[in-house]
Amino acid sequence: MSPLLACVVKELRLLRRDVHGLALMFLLPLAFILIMSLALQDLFAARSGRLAEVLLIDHDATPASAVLRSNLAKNEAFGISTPSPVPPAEVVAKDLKAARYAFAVEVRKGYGASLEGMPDPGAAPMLKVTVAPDTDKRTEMLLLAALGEAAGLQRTEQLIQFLPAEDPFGYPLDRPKVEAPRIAVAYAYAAEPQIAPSAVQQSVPAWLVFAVFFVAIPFSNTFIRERQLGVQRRLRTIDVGPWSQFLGKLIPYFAVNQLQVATMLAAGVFLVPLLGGQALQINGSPLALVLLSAALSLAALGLALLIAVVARTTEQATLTAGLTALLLAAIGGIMVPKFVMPPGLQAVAAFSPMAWGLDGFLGLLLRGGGVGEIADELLKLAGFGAAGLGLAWLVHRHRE
Amino acid sequence: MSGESSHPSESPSPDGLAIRVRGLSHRYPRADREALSGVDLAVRQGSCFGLLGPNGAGKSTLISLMTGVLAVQAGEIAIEGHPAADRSRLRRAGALAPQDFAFYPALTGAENLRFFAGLQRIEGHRIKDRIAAAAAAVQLEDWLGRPAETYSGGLKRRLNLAIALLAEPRILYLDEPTVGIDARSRQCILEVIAGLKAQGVTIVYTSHYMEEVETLCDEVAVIDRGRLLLSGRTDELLSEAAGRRLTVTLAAPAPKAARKALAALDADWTGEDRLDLTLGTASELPAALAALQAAGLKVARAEYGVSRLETLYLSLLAAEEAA
Repeated sequence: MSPLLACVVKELRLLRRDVHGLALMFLLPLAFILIMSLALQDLFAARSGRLAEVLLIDHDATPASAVLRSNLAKNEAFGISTPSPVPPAEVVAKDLKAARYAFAVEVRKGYGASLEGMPDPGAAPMLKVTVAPDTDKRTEMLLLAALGEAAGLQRTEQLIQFLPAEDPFGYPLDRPKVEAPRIAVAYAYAAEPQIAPSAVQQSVPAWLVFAVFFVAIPFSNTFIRERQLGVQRRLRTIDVGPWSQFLGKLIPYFAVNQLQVATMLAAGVFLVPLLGGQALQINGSPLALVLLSAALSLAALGLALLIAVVARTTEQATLTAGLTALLLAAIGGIMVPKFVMPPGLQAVAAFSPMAWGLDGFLGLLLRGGGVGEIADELLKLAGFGAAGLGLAWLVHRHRE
Repeated sequence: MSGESSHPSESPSPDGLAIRVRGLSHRYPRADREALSGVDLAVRQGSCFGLLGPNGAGKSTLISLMTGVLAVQAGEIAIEGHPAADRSRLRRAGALAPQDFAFYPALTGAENLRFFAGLQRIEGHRIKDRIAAAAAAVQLEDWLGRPAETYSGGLKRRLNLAIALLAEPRILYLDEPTVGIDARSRQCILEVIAGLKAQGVTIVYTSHYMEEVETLCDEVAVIDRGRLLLSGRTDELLSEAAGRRLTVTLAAPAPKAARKALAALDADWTGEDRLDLTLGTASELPAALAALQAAGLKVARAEYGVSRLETLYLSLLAAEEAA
């Protein structure tokens, strides 16, 4: 048996018996994936579903006001409620304060009649919008635009009625139909342009990347424990090079990382839907996925080995590895999606290897890319890993 | 040990020495003094060499240098007559059973032995035999399947020793192998060491139990504060230290009158029933015993020309302290 094989077998045996370490490496990120996928559902739904609820108070109650309601309801950004009978003003004010509605749109009596004949610039407005206290300005602007569009369409329809029904030779004319222009929307960040990304498409790769880096804690602890037990000293009396010892640990933990990636992806595909979330779609080139997983593991293990050789106690190693993982996760878009961050923080995220890993996975899972599309991320992760391993080697040599 | 052991030296040393240390010095980074300072030692092949010294004396540093854990900064170590220019030679020739339980508590005894056997490049077909032989040597066969963390202190010491025996080392370094264990395990370990010595394995032994060293070791060296205070054959050193002293243990405490009667002999009373007499020559021995009898004292035990290692060791350290 070669020393390297002996080290690998020993490490796998130790891993199998380390229940706490396995829980830390698998159950913790799995719990995060489930919780965050379900918790962020609403945030992602807001990107494709309703933006705000609108209370439409129809004082006019004419066919024209019904058309306005119907036109406004075509806009999926707003949910329109039209209570009957019309609620008193104080109830409306209470509902707005309680955030049950973002807006109250009042259609005043005479709205239908105002559409007939020429517009009168001096006339009182027939529509009134009351904005709820916690509604932001952008949403307000969107509602006003939507309301303007709905009323504008109606007005155009009305004007068309004034066009002659026959041409000068007495032939009937087809009056043009008034409808909103059809606009095609595609998601540049999704594998299938028609399908918007979901919470699970963000959460699975994010917490998967975190899990891979989190192995730094058990990994560095095995090193320190060996030192404390005196095994390191004994190993130095045996003619075994440090690379056998290093690789003897790196190879099993690399395998653990690959198992983590497979487990987390499987959880996204099979487990999250069982709990009411959307299933993860695995897109992109399988080869690119394998390479990305390997590069990510290399980066994580480079960092882990560096912490292992620098730290002197298990407390130091646990604290350093844990805090580093949390910090890289915080700035790397793991805990909060990068698109939610302000531009300044998004720029900082560019320095986190977790962000590189996450961008790589999003490139594959959302955009369905291949090796070429994630080449930057692969190179950065591999470079970071190589630098970590190299530094760890230098520190080890210095200590020797 | 099993009968198939090939412990005896595979390359006889031209000078008959297993280890030769010359002018060995070592200073740890940022230390204000040397951990070892110009130490010279010679360990004969097949001997058991006792390395004595108080805590912090430099024993562990010396063993770390001899086993290749630390790089030699100044001085020279020769193994079996060949200078150990690199640490590989030191590592290949010897095995260390450290004072710590240097194995994995979560693994079973067998798994630990298999791991260390693999590290030492023992061929696949021999691994099973070597594990069985090492386990048998320390009477650990019945415990091999259990996790090492469930072992008693004595069993842990035995496993620690079994790991060192796996590669059939020609030189075995034992760093306090019997500390903190029960009498049975201690007896077992001492028997193993005696057996290895009989097979011609060179043993370097450190312990704070002087009677063990006195019984097992042919040669001893005492170091303190990194310096060698004494080195030589155990029997010669003890004989020299004993000199012409007669140590007497009485059957009962001596009455005052008897003490007075012996004043002329210049007795050194070390207890109510113990005294030392310094004689001019061995021929004065019968007269001294007769004087004791005349004083009405009954002798339970008398030793002449014998010294205990502990006495010698403590007197050396006291002299060093005073200096």
